[in-house]
Amino acid sequence: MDKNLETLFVENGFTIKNAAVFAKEADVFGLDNLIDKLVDLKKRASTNNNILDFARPVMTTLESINNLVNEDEYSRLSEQSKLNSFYDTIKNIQSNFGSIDNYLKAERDIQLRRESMFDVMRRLYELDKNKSLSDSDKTSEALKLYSAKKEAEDAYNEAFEIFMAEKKNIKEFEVVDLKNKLLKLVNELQMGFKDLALKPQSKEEIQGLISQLRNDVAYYGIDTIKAKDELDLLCKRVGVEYVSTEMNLKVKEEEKREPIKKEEEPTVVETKSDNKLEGLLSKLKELNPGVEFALSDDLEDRRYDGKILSSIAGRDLVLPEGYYYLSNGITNRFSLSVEPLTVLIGRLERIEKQTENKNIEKPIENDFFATPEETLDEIKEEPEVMAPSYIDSEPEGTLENNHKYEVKKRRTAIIGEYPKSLLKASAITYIASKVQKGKDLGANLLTGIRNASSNLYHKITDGTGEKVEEFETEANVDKTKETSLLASGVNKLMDRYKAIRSRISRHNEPEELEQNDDLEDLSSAIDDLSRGTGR
Amino acid sequence: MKVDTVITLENDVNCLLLEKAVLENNNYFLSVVLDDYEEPSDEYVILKEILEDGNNYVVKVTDNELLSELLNLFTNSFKENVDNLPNFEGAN
Repeated sequence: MDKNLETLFVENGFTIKNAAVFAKEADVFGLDNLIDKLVDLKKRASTNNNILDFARPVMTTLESINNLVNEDEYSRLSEQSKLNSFYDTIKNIQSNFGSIDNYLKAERDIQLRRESMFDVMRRLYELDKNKSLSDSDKTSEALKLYSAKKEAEDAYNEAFEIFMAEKKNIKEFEVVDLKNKLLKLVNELQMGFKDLALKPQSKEEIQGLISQLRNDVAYYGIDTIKAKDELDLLCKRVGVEYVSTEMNLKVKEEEKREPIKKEEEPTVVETKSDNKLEGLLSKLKELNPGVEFALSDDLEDRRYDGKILSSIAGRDLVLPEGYYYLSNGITNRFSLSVEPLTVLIGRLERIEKQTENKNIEKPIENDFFATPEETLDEIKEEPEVMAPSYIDSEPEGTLENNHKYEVKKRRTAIIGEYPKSLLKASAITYIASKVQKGKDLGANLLTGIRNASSNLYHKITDGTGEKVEEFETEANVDKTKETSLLASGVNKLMDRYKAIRSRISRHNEPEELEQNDDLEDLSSAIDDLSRGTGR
Repeated sequence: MKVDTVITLENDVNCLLLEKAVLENNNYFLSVVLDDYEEPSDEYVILKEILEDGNNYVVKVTDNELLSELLNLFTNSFKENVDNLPNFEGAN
């Protein structure tokens, strides 16, 4: 294998777990293509919603829009109230980012502190490997590094407290909420700018900028999660796993020096020692009397070495020394330890419930409405909507008839205008087709549904070459057939929409953001810490 | 309850509320049931909102007369919504 390819492969954190499968798939893909694809997906999956990279282009775009209107002499002919309203909308959008400016700085600071901390630990580790130092030099160096470690930890803790404080200052800073807010404001901007008197050229430019702005907001995060899903599937298919780049490099360095010892050297991913887990478990039990614990085999997330179930929330646990909270678990990797351990903490009762119901709870950001990266025009993840079945039997569905369900929880969803319209069309035609079987819907209603759906169809497909037969033919006089046709047409329209969006996203490939290779899933761990109470 | 919200019911079913209509002082929501992965399924319902003792409840509307009336309301609102959609930059 070409050394460069091997380096690229390893440096991006990939290891081959099933050599035979890998060899077979490499023949299918072509080795170079396969590695390129893996590396590309890993980079895209690792961006992890870097808000800084999101905020900058948005602010630049807003400034450009502001300038274009300012410098256009026709704009003075606009109604003053409309002009003021337009500028206010721009300020509103900017103020959303203004409020997270300090947060961004605090986030960057905590990353730097964390890097420093880790750097000291790495130097301590390497000190042991350095055979050329005399005992006294080594002692002196070790003591210096120990002080440096303590300082780095204190600085990190301080930065962490500031970070948590900044986070609180932002009103419910959640990417989903932010995007929702921004999308509404971008929509207002879109409507507002149409009321202004502007030169045609300025209008065209501003329209382009607003569309770009909408896309930036919409796409923020979409690609990351999509890329991660694709990466997971591809890795599974080709017999590859991906690990923390940093840990992989460490293993590689050890390989150079002491190839035999490399096998003995544990890594975060490869080592899943029951003894370490059990050791941690017994310490947790000691520190948390009255709390029930259990070890779990149900672990899919490669970032964790094991899973412990607890009858109370992870962040309520008293942790052994050296351990810190993550959003979903605990870790001791910030401490100088030859056996770093990162453990997922699950809820004892919830896991049992999931076993019964096979209900996987996911944060809404990961889904159809997902984060970074949802827009007015598109949603992060278009769902696979199956054709509703109109044939004969009408099962009750997930919700029972005449049963009053309590609403336990509410979450904001972020969804673009077009996807929402498609879902509405689907809902209306689906329900209409069911009702039509039992009660005659008036011709007016069916005409209304057809007209509105057809309008949506034209808005989406005109100029794209995409066609949906059901909307190109006359309405069916048989109302039952007509409702079925409309439902089927809307379903196909959804597919067309996905195809068109997919073409656009390939055409407008987002910039490659820098991968943060320093620490394992640094950005996501920062995110984790921001929700946890870490030390 | 409001539109563009996902509600989780007591049986752990999630529903996305797409549109709201008010009929005879009752709130109704055009909704899509989400699957285990919180993706829209192929099941759509109209839910009636009920407030009792400070708690929110929903019940699926099944009466065809009522559904027909609500469909009228939702279709009118849908039509207006489509008319106001911004230009779709789907063409390359």
